[in-house]
Amino acid sequence: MTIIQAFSLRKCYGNLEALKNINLQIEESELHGLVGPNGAGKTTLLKLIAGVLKPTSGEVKVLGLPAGHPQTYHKLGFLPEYLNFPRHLTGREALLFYSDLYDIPRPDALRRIDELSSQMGLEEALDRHISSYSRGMLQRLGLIYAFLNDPEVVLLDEPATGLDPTYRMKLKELLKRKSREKRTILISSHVLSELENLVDSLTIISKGQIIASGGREEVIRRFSPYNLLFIELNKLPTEKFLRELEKISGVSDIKVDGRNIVVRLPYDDDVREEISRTIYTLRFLPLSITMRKISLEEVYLKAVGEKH
Amino acid sequence: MSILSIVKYELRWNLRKKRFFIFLLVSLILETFTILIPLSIPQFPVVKSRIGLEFGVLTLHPFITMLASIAIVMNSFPEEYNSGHLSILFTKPIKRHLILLGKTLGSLLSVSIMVLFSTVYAFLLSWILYGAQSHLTGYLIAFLSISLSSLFFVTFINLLGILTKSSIASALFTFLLYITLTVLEGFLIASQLMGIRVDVSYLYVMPSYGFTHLPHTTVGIYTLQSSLLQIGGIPLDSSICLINILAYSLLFYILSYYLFRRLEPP
Repeated sequence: MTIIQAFSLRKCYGNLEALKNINLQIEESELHGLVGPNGAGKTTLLKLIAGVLKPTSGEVKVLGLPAGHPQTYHKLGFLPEYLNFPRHLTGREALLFYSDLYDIPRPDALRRIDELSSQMGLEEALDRHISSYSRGMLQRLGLIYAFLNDPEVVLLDEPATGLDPTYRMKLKELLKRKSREKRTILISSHVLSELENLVDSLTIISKGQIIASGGREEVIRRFSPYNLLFIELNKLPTEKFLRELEKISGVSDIKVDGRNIVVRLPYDDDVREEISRTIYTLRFLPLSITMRKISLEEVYLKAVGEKH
Repeated sequence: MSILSIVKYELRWNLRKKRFFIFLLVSLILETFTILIPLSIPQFPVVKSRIGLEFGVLTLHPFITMLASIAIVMNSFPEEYNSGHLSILFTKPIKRHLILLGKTLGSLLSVSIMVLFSTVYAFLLSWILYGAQSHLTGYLIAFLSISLSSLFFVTFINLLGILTKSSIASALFTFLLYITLTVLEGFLIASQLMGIRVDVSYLYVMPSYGFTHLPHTTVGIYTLQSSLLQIGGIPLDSSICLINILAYSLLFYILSYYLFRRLEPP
């Protein structure tokens, strides 16, 4: 089931066209990453999906209803990039205020707040005024807030900002768990390493346009259809060794630096076994063989670089 | 009941503002001075049992309430807009008109609480200084009408807040409006007093006619100001005052709603 759909979406701020002809589909229980440089239009896209902004043209649907439809709000959790909670309230007062807006019965709201705050390590600070919170604490409060109504769709704009490594890990765990619970999560982030092993699918956006969108592997393969294999030998490779290596199907672009060899391999074709056999046959010893898959950051740089 | 949550939120916010307490304190101090006037001038013709109401509640109190409502409510929308909190509220299952209504009612309630405190204080202080005070319903009516008068400023400053997104600009413009209206009204009255024939029918539709005179007319006490008006030959009519306040407040509220519906957060 398609949970989020955008058709020919355009958003202009005066003369500035922030989003140009965006078409996007996100399926149920998908953990979808939205990446792009500053000013690419990520926040605008999230706000349009959340129904905070109205599109200049085109349409956004959430759970089959137009974005901003009152019925979708009950099923939506949205963490904006710059989240300013009312500073005169305590963390608990603010969360109770929002749960009242969702008409969550008080005992349920208190239970959910306790659960989420203990997951986010904020239970001791909940009765303090928000004005005394650090950046990281505010972000954790924001995450509790985003999941407060147990939403079916969660939109997170830079959720890892200000979080230390411990809470980044906890955030990852929370997102994975929610995804397993069939929640659809759209996460925009600059910290691409955070999305690396997290997202199922990905959209790369630049200058208001989608450069690539689809399954994570599909997008990576599109921008980098190969992996790199690093081999360290016990002695300098001979001409014959390199010729034999070249004969292995899929191996290309061999680079030698002393006893170290780097070869390019097809993305889907793992020929490590064959390479190992060749090394032993030619009476070499591999001190190490490491396959390095292209990182999301490299894909991003390549994609955005191509666009620029 | 989402709207009650908004009312409660606004009320809690206002009651935690320092300026709320500053204005309450100023109001109580000024009330103390005005109530002490008959003590310091013994030949002043007063009915002792009505000092609390006439000197305490109906002299400077409406003016202070007007200033307080501007100060307390000035950031109700601009701060929420600029901080991005409105973006949060817009993703909640509550309609925009209920946010606007809830915030307006919350602001009105905040001002009313201040008025209630100072009305009770005026009554108690006068009781202590001058003995039993009569006309208790007068206190209740004064409290209600002063609170209602502030509705004009609450709705106007909210309208400006939504329009300009600036607390300072909306507070200044509201104060400027108050001064302009008061001066205009003063001219009309002064012209009457000096025997210059002017068309005083304008006065009835001036908002100041409503918010300045409603407390006096509803309580039915002729203060110095209302006597002055009567000398000028202009009758005071509580129903016109009330209609003025409600009509202008409704107009500002409708305009606010029109703008608020189209408001896009930053």
